[in-house]
Amino acid sequence: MKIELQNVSKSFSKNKALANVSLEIDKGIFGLLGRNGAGKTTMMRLISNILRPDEGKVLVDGKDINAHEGYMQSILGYLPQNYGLYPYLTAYETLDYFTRLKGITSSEDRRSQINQILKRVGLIDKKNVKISKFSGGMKQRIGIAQAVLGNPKVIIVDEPTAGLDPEERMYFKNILAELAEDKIIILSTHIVSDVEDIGSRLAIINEGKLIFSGSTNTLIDRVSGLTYETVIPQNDVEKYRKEYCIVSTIHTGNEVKMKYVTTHNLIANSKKVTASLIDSYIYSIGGLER
Amino acid sequence: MSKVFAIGNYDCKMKMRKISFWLITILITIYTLLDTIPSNYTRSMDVFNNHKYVALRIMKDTMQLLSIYIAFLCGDCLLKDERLGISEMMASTSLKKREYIYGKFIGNISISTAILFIVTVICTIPQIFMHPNAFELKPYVMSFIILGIIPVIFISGLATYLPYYIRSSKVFLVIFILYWALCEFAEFKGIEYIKYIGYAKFKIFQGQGISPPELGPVLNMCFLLAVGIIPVVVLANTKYMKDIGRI
Repeated sequence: MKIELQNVSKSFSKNKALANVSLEIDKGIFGLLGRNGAGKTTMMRLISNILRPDEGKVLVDGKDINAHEGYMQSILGYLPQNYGLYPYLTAYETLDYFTRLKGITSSEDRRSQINQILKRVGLIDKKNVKISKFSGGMKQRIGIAQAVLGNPKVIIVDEPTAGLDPEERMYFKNILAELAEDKIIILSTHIVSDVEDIGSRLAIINEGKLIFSGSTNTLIDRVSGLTYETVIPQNDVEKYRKEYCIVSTIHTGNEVKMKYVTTHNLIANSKKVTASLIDSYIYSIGGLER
Repeated sequence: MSKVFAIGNYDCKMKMRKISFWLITILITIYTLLDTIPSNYTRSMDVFNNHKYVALRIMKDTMQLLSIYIAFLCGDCLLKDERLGISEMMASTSLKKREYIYGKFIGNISISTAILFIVTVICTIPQIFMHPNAFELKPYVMSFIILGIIPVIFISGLATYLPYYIRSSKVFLVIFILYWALCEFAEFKGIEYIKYIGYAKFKIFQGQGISPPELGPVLNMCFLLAVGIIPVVVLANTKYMKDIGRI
């Protein structure tokens, strides 16, 4: 199974949300990184066939999803970035509602799938509790549970870990990793560690343009041997920002511990450090903005 | 069709779990009971022994309060899904737009009919005891269908599509209350759905019970059904949501 984006563009009024993006996504977890407003959600919606591209095609197994009405919807599980759940329904009823919308007509099938997925997300003992009594993390688990219902071949999750505490975030990532065996999972996020922990392939979008696609190792290799760390006076940060690509700054009193990527002159007292995925990502999107 | 009924069923279920649903049901029931159980003074009036009259009076009282509550309870059914982001999740399933809209419409009709039914049944029970040998069920059933269900379809339809078009359930509610007030207090004779009930009220005040429908009420009934149903069908078959174009 493979998803292909071929020269896909999408605009909203005068804003170009995506410009001529071409990308291939295979089985496993695929991370989509980018700043807020970079175009990730638009891309997720285009792949989900919720939006239609202005130009280009989205192909799944060679089929144009716009030309094959309903095909993508039949193999898709989707968790949008900003979603809510009906507070007056219980966890079980919420999932029952979505199984019905997904066209699972047999009540026995529905019951068995819902119980199975509630066990998987650790909410089986809360199945009769109303959603209004759930924490943010529990609601997120219900969100992923509804996406997984019907055993979809493609699961798209848009910023799923935003707002979760570290424990919930780890729990969520484990669920995704378990699901990834025989599916395509597209994880859109601006949190680099989410991709680092569970994804081996990723793409980076910046201002609607695809600026990287490949493995996490390839991305790290881009700045490997080029990443340095130094301590400078706080006032000098802006001066160096013009000359160097700063990937991290940690303020300690009047000084700043600064990490930067360079291919030319080093700042005094710099030492080479091991590059991480986040360093490479920040470098790819043009360094820290502020 | 199963998706339509799933949406309708769950929509109805959710609204029934709201405390306001039960409060308004109790309030309407009390108001209607007080108005239809005769006091010592009115007990001697013949009209209170006329089941057609009492059935009409139950329906008139119920619909007066219920119509506004339906507008309040059901007016945000589409906008709320958009606001909560549920529409986007729905768009990722195989649900079709028309199934969604019809499901919401059926949900609105179901919840309104449920209140109407509960109030009518409770308010009819005293009549059975008051006239143990002369009770007639037919007038209550007929008034439930003609004076209850038809305005319910009208208001449920309005509450489904109008807030979506004007993009605000609150503005819709204000418009609806103004319209209701015009019909109720200013005898606004233009396009009011209350006109049909107004016809019944006229008969009530005349103390005559209901007679075979005249052309005006029949036309008005057609108007109510058309205004309630046709725009829902149009909405269900045209593009819904500007950038979430699938459903």
